[in-house]
Amino acid sequence: MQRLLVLFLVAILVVAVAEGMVRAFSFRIGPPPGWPTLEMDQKSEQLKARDDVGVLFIGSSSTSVGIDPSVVVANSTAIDSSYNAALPFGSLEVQRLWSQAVMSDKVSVDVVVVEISPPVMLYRSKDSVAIDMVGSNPYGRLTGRNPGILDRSSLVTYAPDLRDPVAALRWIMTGPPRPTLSDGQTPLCRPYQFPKEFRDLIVSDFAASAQDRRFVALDDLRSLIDGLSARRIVFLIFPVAERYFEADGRLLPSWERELAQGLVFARDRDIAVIDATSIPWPQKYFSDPLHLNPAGAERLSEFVAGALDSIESGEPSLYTDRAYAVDDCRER
Amino acid sequence: MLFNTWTYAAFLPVVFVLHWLIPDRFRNRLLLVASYIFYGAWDYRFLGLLFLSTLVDFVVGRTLATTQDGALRKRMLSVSLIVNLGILGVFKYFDFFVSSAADVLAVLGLSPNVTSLGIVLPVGISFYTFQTMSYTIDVYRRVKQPEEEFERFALFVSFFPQLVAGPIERASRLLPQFENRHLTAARFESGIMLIGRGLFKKVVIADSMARLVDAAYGAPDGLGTVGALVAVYAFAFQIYGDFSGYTDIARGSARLLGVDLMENFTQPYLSRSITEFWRRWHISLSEWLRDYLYIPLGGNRAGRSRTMLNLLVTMLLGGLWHGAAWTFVVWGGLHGLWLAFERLQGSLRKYSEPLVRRDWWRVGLTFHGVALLWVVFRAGSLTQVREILAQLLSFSFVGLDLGAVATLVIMMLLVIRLDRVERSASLMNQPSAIKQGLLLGGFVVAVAMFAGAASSPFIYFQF
Repeated sequence: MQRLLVLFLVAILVVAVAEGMVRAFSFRIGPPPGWPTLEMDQKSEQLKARDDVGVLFIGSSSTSVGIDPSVVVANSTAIDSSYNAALPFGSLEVQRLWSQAVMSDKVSVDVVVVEISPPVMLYRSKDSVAIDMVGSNPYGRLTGRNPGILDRSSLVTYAPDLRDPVAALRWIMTGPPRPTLSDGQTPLCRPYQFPKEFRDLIVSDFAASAQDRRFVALDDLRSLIDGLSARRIVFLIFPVAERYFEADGRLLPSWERELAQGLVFARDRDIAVIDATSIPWPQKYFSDPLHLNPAGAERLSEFVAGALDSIESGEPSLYTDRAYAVDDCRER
Repeated sequence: MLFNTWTYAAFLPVVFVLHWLIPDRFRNRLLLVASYIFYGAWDYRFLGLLFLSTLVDFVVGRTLATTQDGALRKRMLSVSLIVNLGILGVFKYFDFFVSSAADVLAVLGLSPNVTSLGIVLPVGISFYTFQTMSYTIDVYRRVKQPEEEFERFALFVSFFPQLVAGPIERASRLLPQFENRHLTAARFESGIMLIGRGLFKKVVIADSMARLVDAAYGAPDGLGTVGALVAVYAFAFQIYGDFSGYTDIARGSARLLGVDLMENFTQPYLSRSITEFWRRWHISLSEWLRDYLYIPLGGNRAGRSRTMLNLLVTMLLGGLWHGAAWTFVVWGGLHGLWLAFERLQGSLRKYSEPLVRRDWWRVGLTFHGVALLWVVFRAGSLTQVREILAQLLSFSFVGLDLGAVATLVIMMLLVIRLDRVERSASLMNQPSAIKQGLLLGGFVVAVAMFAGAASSPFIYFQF
């Protein structure tokens, strides 16, 4: 028994020393790329410093890296300011909590563009297996539901940099590769990219529970829209890479149904829709199936700017011409 | 329920505490319930299959014990084999055989209307059916007395640490351990160390390698020679870390419950020949194939050419056991050919002889051959095998990913170091508590760092 005691004491000591060392040197370590809480902190600070925003984008990591506000402003005649407030892991629930936190009484917003994409329509932060694997997440931050010990451990927090030998060497030599947000102009310093297995886990998570979430997603969407205070709300149907489409370009059936719900909802509420999937999105514009690369972001931002101008000039809302199974998805 | 999840991290301690708290006579029942919960957590609908296999082999075993009628005994054995192989055939191979037959007919210009079942493969089906079949065959051969107690037999089939990916235990080894189990400090320590080591192999080594492998096999175009080499080596270490890590966790979990499972790996990449490799890699399957397939086919007792054929057939079926795909058949066949070739050469050094300096070129040759054959095992299709091999032989060095190479080298060094620690631990029997504590702490730190990354299911769960 004494031997076991010594063994476990030594093991605990090793863990404590490792944790202490990471804490001591954490100022040299950059936070993991796309770390949601960091982005949330920075965006929160930037939004607090602004009185008004012409067009505010909210959504998930897809919008976070897929919309460049400076390109939107440069390509629009009607928009003079824009801010990308989308967050990685920004499910509808996260978007609702987040928009309440940053918009109410703090900043005046003219137009809110809400991302409607398969991940957003299917993903629920509350009960996802995938979200817990990354420890910290915006839902946890916004609701105070942080997983506790995992978030308090620097060893775990800085693990993504520590476990990549090249990155670890780089930050030891050159200091932290800290991502910066220049007032919403560049959402992240590099394209957001999930590890493949993590993406697949999310996708399988979606697929497994798509049936259950069918109408919950609509409830979340309703709550989000009801909580927004802006002159106009616009839905942006976000492109995803070919991999998640059938060969003929139609979305996979489960996802198509979710998007169709969003369209029906928009029609019922008279919300304008920008369907970015109505123009071709070759693979070259993606850094992974859910995220655009900088070239893709520029293309999407230009497209969105033009569409927003059309909407502002009073042209009919851009309902999609895609053959979603809309009639099957009326609110029940 | 995966070993590398928080669910299992909560499940095992609860079972452990309850197991040692309750009186001895209730422990098997507890483990049986726990095992069914463990399996049902994945998909409760397939519990019926597990129960069916258990029931059939228990009844067959009891009948074999009570009758001396040779014809009846044969019929009873056939019932067990038909049920178990039938379960495997329907749930694992039906779609494969149907689609393969359709492909053959299509080549002949026919276009049959093919119906596939599209059934999900029940986890661990290949393992527990082989385990129960070995019991029935042993009872039939009268080398094992049939089990009298259904509860204990059901636990033998479903014991959760080894239910879904082995080791494939023999009844003569496992069943006697389901009575009068004791926990000592030394066994507790060794169980914890095994679990720590297994998690390290899975979470740190295998999952790190998996990221490199998935990236390479996902988009082989433009990998170049170095990229393809990284993929080849990385998968060799991924599958080793994954499967031997699983086995370590299984053995550690079982040991905490007072049960010793057999070793499934003994530094297989230090083998001097492919024959030796199969004595060190997935030992429980190799021994099963030897005892219940190779030897009944005639083994090496019926002349040289028949021995070659037996080796080839055994390995072809061994390959098919891994999965219902032609890549596994080809992989098994190539191993069979290599074994047959080696048998022709003769004069193999004995497995038990220690490695000496002049053996290293043989070790290198065997490792590289095995690693190359893993390409066939890992690839989704024979086309992908061609793509990877084409990249390997392209002698192109564009797009060299230093990060991937660095990760691979670090993980390879870790595997080598860990193997040394394992060997020295077994030689020294019991390292000092401080050394063990340092090692366990190191495992925890490493797993904490790597567990946040995406983890992949154990490779052998799909078999």
